[in-house]
Amino acid sequence: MHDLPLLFDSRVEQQIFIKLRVPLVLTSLIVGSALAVSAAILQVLLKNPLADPGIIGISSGASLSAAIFLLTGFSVSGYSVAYGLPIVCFMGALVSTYVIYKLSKQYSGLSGTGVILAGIAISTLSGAVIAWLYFFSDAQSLRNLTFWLMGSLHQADLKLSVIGFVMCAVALSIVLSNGEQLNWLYFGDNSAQLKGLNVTSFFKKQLLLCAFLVAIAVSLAGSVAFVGLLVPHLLRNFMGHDNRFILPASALCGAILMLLVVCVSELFGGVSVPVSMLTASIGGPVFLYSLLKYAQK
Amino acid sequence: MTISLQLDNVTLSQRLTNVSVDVSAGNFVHLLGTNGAGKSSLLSVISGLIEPVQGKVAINGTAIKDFTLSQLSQFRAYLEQSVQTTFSLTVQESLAFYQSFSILPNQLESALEVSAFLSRPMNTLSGGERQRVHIARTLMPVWQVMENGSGLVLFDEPFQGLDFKHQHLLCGLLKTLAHKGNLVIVSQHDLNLCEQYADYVWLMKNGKLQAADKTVAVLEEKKLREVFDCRINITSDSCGLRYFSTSPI
Repeated sequence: MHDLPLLFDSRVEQQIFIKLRVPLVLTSLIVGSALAVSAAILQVLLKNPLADPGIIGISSGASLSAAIFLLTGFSVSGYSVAYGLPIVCFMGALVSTYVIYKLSKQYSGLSGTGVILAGIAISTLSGAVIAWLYFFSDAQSLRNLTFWLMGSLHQADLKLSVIGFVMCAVALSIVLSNGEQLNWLYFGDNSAQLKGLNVTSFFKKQLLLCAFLVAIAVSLAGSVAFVGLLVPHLLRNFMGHDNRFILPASALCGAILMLLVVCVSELFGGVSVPVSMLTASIGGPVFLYSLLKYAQK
Repeated sequence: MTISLQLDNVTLSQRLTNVSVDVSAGNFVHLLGTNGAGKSSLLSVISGLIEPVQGKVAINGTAIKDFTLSQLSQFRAYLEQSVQTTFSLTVQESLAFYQSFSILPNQLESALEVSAFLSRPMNTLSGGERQRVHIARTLMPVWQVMENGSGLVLFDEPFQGLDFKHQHLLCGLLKTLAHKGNLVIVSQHDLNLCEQYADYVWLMKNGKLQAADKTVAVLEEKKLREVFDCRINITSDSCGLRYFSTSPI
């Protein structure tokens, strides 16, 4: 294999670029775009501007499965952590979405309120189980889980991040074409149905796609807070409510926000800073500014 | 193609009981009745949003359940009684999301006068202004069909919140649409508007259709007293137009 003399001075630099920088950037792009787009969809689907994958419980299933994986001794080798944990988290997010879907259907025939209430119930239950696991675990396992729960963009290797990127691109290409139908849902399910949309089938399809996107993001980077809530909310304040533009803009701005987080974390030298700490630190003041600006209108 | 409607023994649990009525295209029908009489349920069933547990709703002889959602949306305009959003959409956005063209037809603007507040968020409008926007939002996607007289208009209490002038402007618009060949059915509570504009009146009580006939035949004291359970005074002016009032109860 030839070196790349124009780009790299040494083979070590090349390896650092391929094995560390590329996965880091790909993971950032995936996490930012997947969380922001899925939150933008969920907010309209559930008629709740505060909905995001964390609040409605999709990521709590991933957190619970990660906790069980890390704290109960399944993660005996580095290899199992590198590949087993993302797969377990992915499955956990999908299973929790299925449970939320079933509960909501039982409770309210699959309404926005039903999904939110079922999501809160699953989140609370997952939190309780995680707390019990904390209680009975050793110090090293606790440290691993705490770090995972705060999110990290450095977990995935090149192979995983490329697979995640391709899966994310496919899911995004489907959801980004649904902006017009989402617009019809602003005035309720009946308004959309009167426009000719099969609301029940659309709701199920969008919920599944959101769960898929969130599962990819959470399995690669752990639990990342605030991105989903912040990005679409800000965009709606400045760009209006047309989802044909909000969805692609959310993907773009979510990705840019996560790259910004990577740049800020580089300021801390070699220390891997938990992502949620940075997203909340950057996002909190921006969100507050947006709210104050909106209140002045 | 004009729209005629046939309802045969339509029943909806605890809301509608054996409602049967036929009405042909080009009529302006007013649906009157007490609160909880089943007016909104009947309009929902006719719109295709709710399927009756028994009986059949047909448009031009074809059962409504045989139409796809997309086919129905091509010719039906249904205004729900209460429409809300938790997002602060502007009036422009609210109108633009539901149709492909952006210019408000002149006839709609003359009756609804919404272009003055196109840039305002919906949540800053008064109840009546919001109602006018919802009416425009409902009619715009099927306006071309309405112009050709092939539409079905189902409005559930469209006059709520509207001032005196806009009540009459809207009634005038709906009457014009009906006389172009569209079938227009509105539920409402104002007997005087009904007398002035309706071609037919459907009178409902406790989920049952008590009367369905020409306006002059239904708006008579005995039938109204039976449904509304109060004294109805009817006076006439020199043109023969009747006015309805009630004594203090």
